[in-house]
Amino acid sequence: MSILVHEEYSQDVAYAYDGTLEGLLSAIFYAYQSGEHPQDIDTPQHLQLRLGQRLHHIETSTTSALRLQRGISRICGEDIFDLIKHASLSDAPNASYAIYTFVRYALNQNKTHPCKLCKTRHNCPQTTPCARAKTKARKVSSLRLEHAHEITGPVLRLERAVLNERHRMKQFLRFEQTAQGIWFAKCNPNANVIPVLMDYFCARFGCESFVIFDEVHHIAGVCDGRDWQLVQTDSLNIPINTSNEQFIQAAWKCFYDAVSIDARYHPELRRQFMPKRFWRNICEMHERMPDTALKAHTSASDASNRQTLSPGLRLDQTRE
Amino acid sequence: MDILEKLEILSDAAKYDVACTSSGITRNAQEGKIGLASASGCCHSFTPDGRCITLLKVLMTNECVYDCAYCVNRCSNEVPRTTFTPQELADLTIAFYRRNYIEGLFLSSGVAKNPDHTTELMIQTLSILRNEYAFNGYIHAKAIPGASPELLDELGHLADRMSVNMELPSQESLKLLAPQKNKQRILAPMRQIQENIATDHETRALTRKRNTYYPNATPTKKMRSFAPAGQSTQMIIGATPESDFHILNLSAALYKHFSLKRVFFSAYLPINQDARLPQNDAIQLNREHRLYQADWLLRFYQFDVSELIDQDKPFLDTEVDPKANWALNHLDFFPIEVNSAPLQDLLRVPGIGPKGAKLIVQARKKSCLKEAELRKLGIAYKRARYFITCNGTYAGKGIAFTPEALRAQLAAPIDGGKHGRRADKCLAGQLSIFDCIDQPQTPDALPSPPMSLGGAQADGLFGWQQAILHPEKVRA
Repeated sequence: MSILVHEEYSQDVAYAYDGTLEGLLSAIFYAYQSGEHPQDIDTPQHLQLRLGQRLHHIETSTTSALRLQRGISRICGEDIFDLIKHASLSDAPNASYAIYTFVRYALNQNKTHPCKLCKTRHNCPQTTPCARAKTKARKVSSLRLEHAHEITGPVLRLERAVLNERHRMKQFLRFEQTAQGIWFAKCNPNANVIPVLMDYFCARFGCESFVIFDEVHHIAGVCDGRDWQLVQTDSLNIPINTSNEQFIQAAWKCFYDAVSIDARYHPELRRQFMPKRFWRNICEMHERMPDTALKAHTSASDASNRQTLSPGLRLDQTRE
Repeated sequence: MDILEKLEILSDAAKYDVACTSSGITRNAQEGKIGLASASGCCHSFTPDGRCITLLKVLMTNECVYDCAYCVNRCSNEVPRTTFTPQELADLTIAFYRRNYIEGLFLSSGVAKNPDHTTELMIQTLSILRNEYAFNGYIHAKAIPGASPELLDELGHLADRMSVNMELPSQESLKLLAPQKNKQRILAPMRQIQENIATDHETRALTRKRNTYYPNATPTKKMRSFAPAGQSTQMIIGATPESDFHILNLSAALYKHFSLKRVFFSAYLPINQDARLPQNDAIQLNREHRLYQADWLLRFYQFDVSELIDQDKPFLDTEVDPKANWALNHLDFFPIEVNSAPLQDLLRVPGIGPKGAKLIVQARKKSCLKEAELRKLGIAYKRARYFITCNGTYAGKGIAFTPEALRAQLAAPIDGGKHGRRADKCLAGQLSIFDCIDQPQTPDALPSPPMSLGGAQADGLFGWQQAILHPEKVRA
């Protein structure tokens, strides 16, 4: 009764969007607008059509995405929009569909929200609940407490997985100083975490410029010391490192080797905390990896780069 | 000497310090400063032994005037000796911090010349970091027992966390293995740190808000707060015959009276050849693990130390963890209903931790929790099912509700694998030292202290506790 989306309501349609948050919000907006209940929402690469299913390509529209964002923030609270934002960064299959059902459920649950009787609600510029509503609104939305719910639960778990991956990146990014004085780091996360990572490193670095490049999603976060931007790119030219860089890396490796106690040797525990998939971007682990693994990876990534040459450089596609 | 060689020697010498946490304080980034700190801490790497590297853990110097039997840096050991200059160490810290290798600095030291001289070197390093480099990250500094209170105060205002090594769990052992150290000398800086933190906290609370009619007394010069992340300590276990009962009571007293953030245990590793030390070459890693489990119960599960262990069985069970052990001995408390039990009862269930208990309390407001829901919340249902009912149904059917039957289900031996020297780990109580003492558990079995300086005795089972509570009565 309270759950809106059932299989029998769904019409045989699948939405394909461009993989960005704006695209996803546009797709959900379109579903509301057209009164459809799509069975699948995904990027064209991952979407596999069911028998007799119609495919609809969604044009990313910033206006409709913004309108949906405003609606969700006003009706359910900003923390619920944050939840959607974080969950949408996940690479997990069916993440987009889980978010779609969650948005439907969340908006339906909060039908009687404080803006309901407001006369100016249709052309209200506010993205957040206004002062009158704010006093009533709770700090944490009650939707966030529904860990065991069949619609909310998966989205909460998606968010948790993304934030865990973000924490891993905070731990295991290794910066190198390039000759121009810019700090550079490469990473291979299993979720598109750079948008939620940049603020942390901006704060940590103070006022220095740095670049974080995501090999998996081909996204780079570029910080010029004050503000940051996201760049989608496949071509990556790393300038040579400073002369001091080799020395510091040697010092770090020396420290890493020195602090280990042989009598307590426990590599399983290390692997549990520091999974092997990260090792190729952690400088002190390079010599512990078989050479073949490193080489195999570099050639494979080159090949994949050539195949998926994207339409050039797109600046500032999403700014969270 | 090359800085690489220095780093290798001094980090190698510091590796036996167990505490390596960057937790306890959140400090946001500030304009013009480098770095920040977060209360949960952040581990940046893990060594082959599975321990985390979060701070650059080094000694200021490995020269030492003391001759403690268990220590790798004792003056009678022939190891290469070196000292960092404050500038070198500060440069290295900043270079590592910028590359995201570390979260800050952990600075300990051997005692070169005297405690005051060593502390001054440490203060110099920290003030270069804080004042010249405007370093805003985490710094953990070891207080050297015997240093003057003024220097300790200065060090504390530069560091985030302070710690004093307790070294060994009893005065008797200290006298045997570290004859130059004594209890009051160790407890005095701990007490000073605790008092300074409390004073600082109070002063800040008073000056923060306009809470009098007088003009606000905000100090014109902003001073760093004193060790805002609190203090910790560590002790070696297994080098001397103290029981787990003794150790846990001591750590509970430290948490209670000195408001420590952490007590670290370090299983004794045979480094030196010494007749006073156990020579059986086995490490009590399992015992250390159980002690940490009990420590967690004290800090996060609202257990009291008397619930975990008693004097009749002074060692923790090696087969089951302390929480399961408590549950098996209190089966009349179980099963409890997950959908209605209060938080502190949920915390007593084996398989439900603080996070899981909090999630249960949140989630049950909206839905009725059964097996599937509990599994989704991340509860160790396999263990928890014998102690809970879900909406009235008990899921542990098939197993008799008796301590023996449940013990067989819950027994979880610590499986460390077969690497390195883990194959010859030993169990608690398997010691081959103190030939005069066969059963080290009971207090009256310990040899009476040879001299008394009047007042209460500092030795015996609760010797440290007495020294903590009555500093004026108990002398070392």
